[in-house]
Formats: sequence, C-alpha cells, structure tokens
Amino acid sequence: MADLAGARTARIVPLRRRRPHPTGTARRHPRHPLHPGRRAREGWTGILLVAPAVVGLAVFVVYPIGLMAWVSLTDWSGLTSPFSADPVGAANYEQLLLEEGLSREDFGIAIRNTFYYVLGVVPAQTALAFVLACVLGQRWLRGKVALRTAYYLPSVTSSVAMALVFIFLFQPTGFVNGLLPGEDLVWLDDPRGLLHLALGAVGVDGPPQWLAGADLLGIGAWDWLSGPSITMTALMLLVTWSTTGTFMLVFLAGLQRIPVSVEEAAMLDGASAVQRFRYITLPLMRPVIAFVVSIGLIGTWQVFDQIWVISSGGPRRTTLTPAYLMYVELFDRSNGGLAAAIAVLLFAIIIVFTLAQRRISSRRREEAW
Amino acid sequence: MTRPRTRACLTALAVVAALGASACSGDSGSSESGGTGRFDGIELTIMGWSATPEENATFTEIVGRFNAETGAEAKFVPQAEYDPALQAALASGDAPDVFYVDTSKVQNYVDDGILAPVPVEDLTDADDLIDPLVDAFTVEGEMYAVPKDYASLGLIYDAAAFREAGLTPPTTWDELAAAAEKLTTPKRAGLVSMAKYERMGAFLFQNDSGLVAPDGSRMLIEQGATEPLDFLTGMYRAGHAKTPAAVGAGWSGEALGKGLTAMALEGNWVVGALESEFPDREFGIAELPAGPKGPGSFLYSAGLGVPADAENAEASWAFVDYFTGPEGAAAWTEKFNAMPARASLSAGWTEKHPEQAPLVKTTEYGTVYSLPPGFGEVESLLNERLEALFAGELDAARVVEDVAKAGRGALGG
Repeated sequence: MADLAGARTARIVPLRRRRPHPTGTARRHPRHPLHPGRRAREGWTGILLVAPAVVGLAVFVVYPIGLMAWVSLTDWSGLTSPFSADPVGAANYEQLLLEEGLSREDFGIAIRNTFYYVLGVVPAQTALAFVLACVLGQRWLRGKVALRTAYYLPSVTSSVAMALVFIFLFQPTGFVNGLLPGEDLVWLDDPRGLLHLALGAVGVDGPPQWLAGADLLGIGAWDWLSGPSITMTALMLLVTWSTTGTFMLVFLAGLQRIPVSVEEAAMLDGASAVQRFRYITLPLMRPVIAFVVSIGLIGTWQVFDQIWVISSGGPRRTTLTPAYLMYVELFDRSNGGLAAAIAVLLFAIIIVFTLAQRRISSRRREEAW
Repeated sequence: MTRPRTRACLTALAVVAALGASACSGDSGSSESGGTGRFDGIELTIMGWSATPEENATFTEIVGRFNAETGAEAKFVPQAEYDPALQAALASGDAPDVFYVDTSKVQNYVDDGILAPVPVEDLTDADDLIDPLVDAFTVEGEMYAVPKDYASLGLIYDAAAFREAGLTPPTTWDELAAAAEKLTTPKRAGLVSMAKYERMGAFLFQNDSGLVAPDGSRMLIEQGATEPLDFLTGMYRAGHAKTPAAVGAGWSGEALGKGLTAMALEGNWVVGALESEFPDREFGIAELPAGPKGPGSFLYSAGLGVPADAENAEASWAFVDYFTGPEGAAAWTEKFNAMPARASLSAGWTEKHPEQAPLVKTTEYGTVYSLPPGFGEVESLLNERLEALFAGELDAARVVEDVAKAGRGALGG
C-alpha cells in the first residue's frame, strides 16, 4: 500500500497470479517432473516449522483460556487445584450481572471506571503520538534522535517505577500542584468525578427526574455519569504519557512509508501544508491509526499495574477496574470462579470493542478510496 | 549478525553456569550435621513474607538452629507477593511444608481442607499461648495454626509536639478530639490514620460494637456504631484528622516521621520503621484512648500452619513447635518488632522494649483482626462508606444501614 496508484495494482496482481495455468489444470497439485511428492514434503516441512509456535500457542494460550472458561463455571476458591472445583453453572455470571449485591456493584463500578479511562486515554495517546510523530517526521527538525529517545524512554521504563515517580509528582505538596493555580488538590485521594464537578459547576447536583430511577448493574444513572475521578485522571495522565512513545514509533514508521514523490507531486499541484496533511498524510495513515486505536483499546481495558501501585482501586472504588477486581477477588477474597468470570466478560468486552472499532475504521477506509 | 548472537550465547552460558553453581552451593551447605538428628535429610520449605532484610535474617537464623539440632534441611522462602505465591503453590499441588496463615484466611483454608489441625498435645506448653490469638486460629473447636507473634494497635505520637503543646497522651475520646484540634497546624494534621476498618474498627470496639462476630454468627455494626462513627467524622470533617494520602504520605508512620502529623494509629511495626528511617523524630507510644464503654483495640497476628496433605507432617510440626515454642518465640521476637504470642514471655519482652509496654497492655482487651469468609467485600464497602462519611456525603446511620444490609447478605449466602 505504498501510494494510491500502487495500492490498486497491488490488489490486482495477486488475483492474476492465482488464475490457473492454461495448460495442465487436471490436477490440483501438479507434481514436479523431477521431484515427485515435493508438495507433500513441503507440507510436512511446513508443519514441522510451525509446530513449535502452534504447540506454544496451544499450551500457553488456548489451554489457559479454556481452563479459565471452565473455572468461571465453578466455585473454585483459588486455593486448591482448579480441576477439583465443583461446577456451579452460570452462578458466577449471575452474581456479576443479575443478582443484586456487592459483586455486581463492584463489577458495574469497574466497568464504568474503565469506560471513562478508555474514553480518555485512547484518543489522547493516539492524537498525541500522531502529532509527535508528524513533528519528528519533519525533515528540517534538528536533534531528532535525542527527541525520539526522550519520547520513547517512558515506554521502556518499568510501569511500577514510573507509577512511583508519579506518586511523588502528584503529592499534595508536589510538583503538579505547584504548577497549578488555586487550591491544592489531593490528586491521589480524591473520588470526585470530573463530569459531576462540571455539572455541579453549572448548577446540576443530581439526576434529572426522568433519569433518577434508572439503574444498570446496580449502579444508578447519576453514578454512571460521574466521569473519571480526579485520582483516575491522574492515572490517565500517567498512562497516556507512558504509552505515547510506543505509538509514536508506530506512526513514525507509517509516515516513513509515505513516498516523498506523492508529497512532491501534491506540492507541484500547489497543495498547502494543511491540504497535504488533510488529503495525503491522513488518508494514507488511516490503517496505522486503526492499528494504534485497536492496540490502545485492548491495552487500556486491561489496565492493572498503575492501579496496583498507586491507588489499589480507591478512593471510593473510583479506580477499580476489571483487571484489578479480578486480582482482588482471586487473592484477597478467595473467589477464583468469580475472578475467572470477570476475565471472560472482560475478554468479551475487548472483543466487542475491537470488532466495532475495526468495522468503523474499515468502512471509513472504503469511503476514503 | 553473528556478534550479537555470540554474545547472547555467552550470556545464556553464563546464566546456566550461575544456576548450576547456585544449585551446587545449595546442596553443599546442608549436609554438615551428618546423620545424628531425628529428621536427617528431610527437606522442609517454609513459605512466608518478610518486610525487612533483618526479619528475613532472623527467621533464617532460627531455621538454621533447627536444622543443626534435628538434621533437617528446612529453608525459609519469603515471598514479596505472599497470597499469589501461596495460592499458586496450593493450586498446583505443590504446597510448602509450613506456611504463614493470616487470621482472615484461616476459615477459607479450613473450608477447602488445606490446613491440618494442630496436634495441640505435641506442642510445648500450649496453654501458654495467648488465648485470643489461639481463638483466632480456631475453627469449630479445632486449632489450625500456631500464632508466631502478634502486634497491637496503639496511639503513636510526636513527643516533642506534645511537650510544646503541654499535652499528655489522650485517654478519652474528648481528650483525643481536643488534642487533635490543638495539635493541628496549617502544615500538620493532629491525627493521621487511614479511614479503614482495620484502624477505625478499634473505636467501634470501644462502644461495644464492631463489624461482625468473628464466627460469622451475626452482625455487630447495628448496635452502638453510630456514636463512634460520629466522633471520628467530627475530627475528619474539621480537618483535625486526615488520611495519609491527604497529607502526602504513603502511610501514617511516614506522616509522623515527616512531621506531617502529631499522632498516628499504628502498631509495633512503626518502631523499627521510625528508628531506621526517621531517627531524629522523637516519638512516644500510648494505648488508644478508651471510649464510652471502655478500652478497645486491634491485635494483628499470623500463625504457622501445615497443609493437610503434608509429606513430612512430623518434621513440619516439629519445626512449628520449635519456632513458636518458648525458645524460638523469644529468639524471633527479640530482634523483630513483634510481641511473643506466649504469655510467659510477655514480661521479659516488655523489659527489653519498655517503650512498647502500652502495646503489650493492649493485649488484655484487644480484638484480633479477623473476618469470616466472604466478608472481604463487606469490609471494602465499609471502607468506602467511611471515606464518604468523613467527606461529608453520608451520615453514620446510612453507613451502618448499608454495611449491615451487605453483611447480612454475605452471612446468609
């Protein structure tokens, strides 16, 4: 997919190659005259070559996923062998989705928190990474290597170490409060939701009448509309800052694949810098953007380390996420079956979001052609 | 292309060599005592946690003495993340021979048939073990772990700040509130404590309340909890009491060390932490002030347990007895800032740690921190509601109502 014209030809060429040869179409697998059975041997070699990867996938991916799905249907405490657990049907799922109680409330709150987290982090890290890549892609820029290293450094640093640094930055008497005007915030212990704060600022302190009774997963509509808490916002800033570097590299690689000739042609045609960005860079980068958003969605739904280090789900459960809740259920509360059910639901959520995102971006891509 | 690969190969070789070397050295050390002990060559793995290198060293030293006396090859394996490590070992059928048992986990372990009952008759002077601690490890009349030590919750205060303000440690709620108010300055809170059950619960006990009966038979929070909650709320809403995060500290001990608070609710463990990290801070320890219905506080303990399917049950219990027996317990608590779980050792220990005498005295009325299974969620809910209460979003009656409802659900289910 080098450029617009190239992409079209690239699509056609493989089709032509696949067209059957006009002579000798009787056999699907024509034998080579000198090497009978070469295909078969190639097949075996192929199987042999992929075997290590397939075995690895089966042992470390397929098997654990299957085991997790099975465990989610049992009352496994996490303390004994998972094979000795008693099946309880869909009880764990009912507890998470249907039955009124603390498990459903925890799960609902975790989904809400992560929803706002994803909504904030994915666009922010994608946009920031794209802008940084575009700036670093400029030919006139000096000191590119130093800048690139600086931006990428957070991505190769341990998330735990960075979380610890952020704890210092966000102290009540820390650097961030020093920069910000007004009253000092207790960043890491402030459960107030941003949306609630914004609504409060325009005089809305509770749900409108028609929303007051609404309820999903045991969480009232007003609580769903809280927005990320101040503490979650601090975590979102941390994660955005630390992941941007990786995605910037992806974007840089994508930008380098845009041929100079296309841009030069556009310049000759009199396109301004803004037009070149809008009509050449952006459409050609669309697949890369889609990739970054997909990876971002998958990664953000699984957020764990920063929460484990900084907030442990608090204050007031506003940084509880499905991944952290899983950890708590399994290791603090000895509810292994419930933890597995959360894992399966999280898996489903990620699949749905990723598929939806792919569908949206592929439709856009077709429109673009 | 070849050079990095060569280097990788060399690194791999070096790693293998190092592993081999360590494996060899691991073997050579143990077989010195040569064939005289009653557990010759029996390998024991003891899994636990260790907050400091000194703690680790002390434990390992006692294990070494046990090995020398019995010929066993016991080894202490401290885990940074204890619960995940233990659960992984248990679930894979590779349980350690002896492991630390948290008071809140005993019932879970027993329900899953993981712990073997303690052969009480084989223990050295089992009656000497402090009763409330033994009770915390007892399920339906059967003891499942032997307490290895314990700590209690007290009031840790900045002695210099108290002198300046002309105060003595508070002994009643009114005095505590007054002291917190007087000691609060723009840069320092009067009292810092996390707003959680594991600390605030002590004030419930002081009004004959609590969260739940230790055996899970009934909820305690429905009686007499609003008064202590209102008292605490008053201090937090006035800004005289704060959470560690609100003053920018990781925990209250750190807040006290940094001069961010004049009082903290902590236990024996602060002594070592304050002495090593903030040697200039002059601190004092007092019992928690008493409430309307008398004194009340928390005791925190961990025990040593042996799995039900232990391969070397005899040797495992022998180690547990060695460690928790009069000699072992004395050696263990001599260097490590925890109190011996044996009544006969209390006086001697207090003599050596006179500043911690109030914490020893707390044993007389303290309640062991322990929750019935399935109560983790209820405790989390209570902690969350406490935060909301102190922030002024709820009243105490509502907190009690919510927690009691959730608690009854957990007990019924």
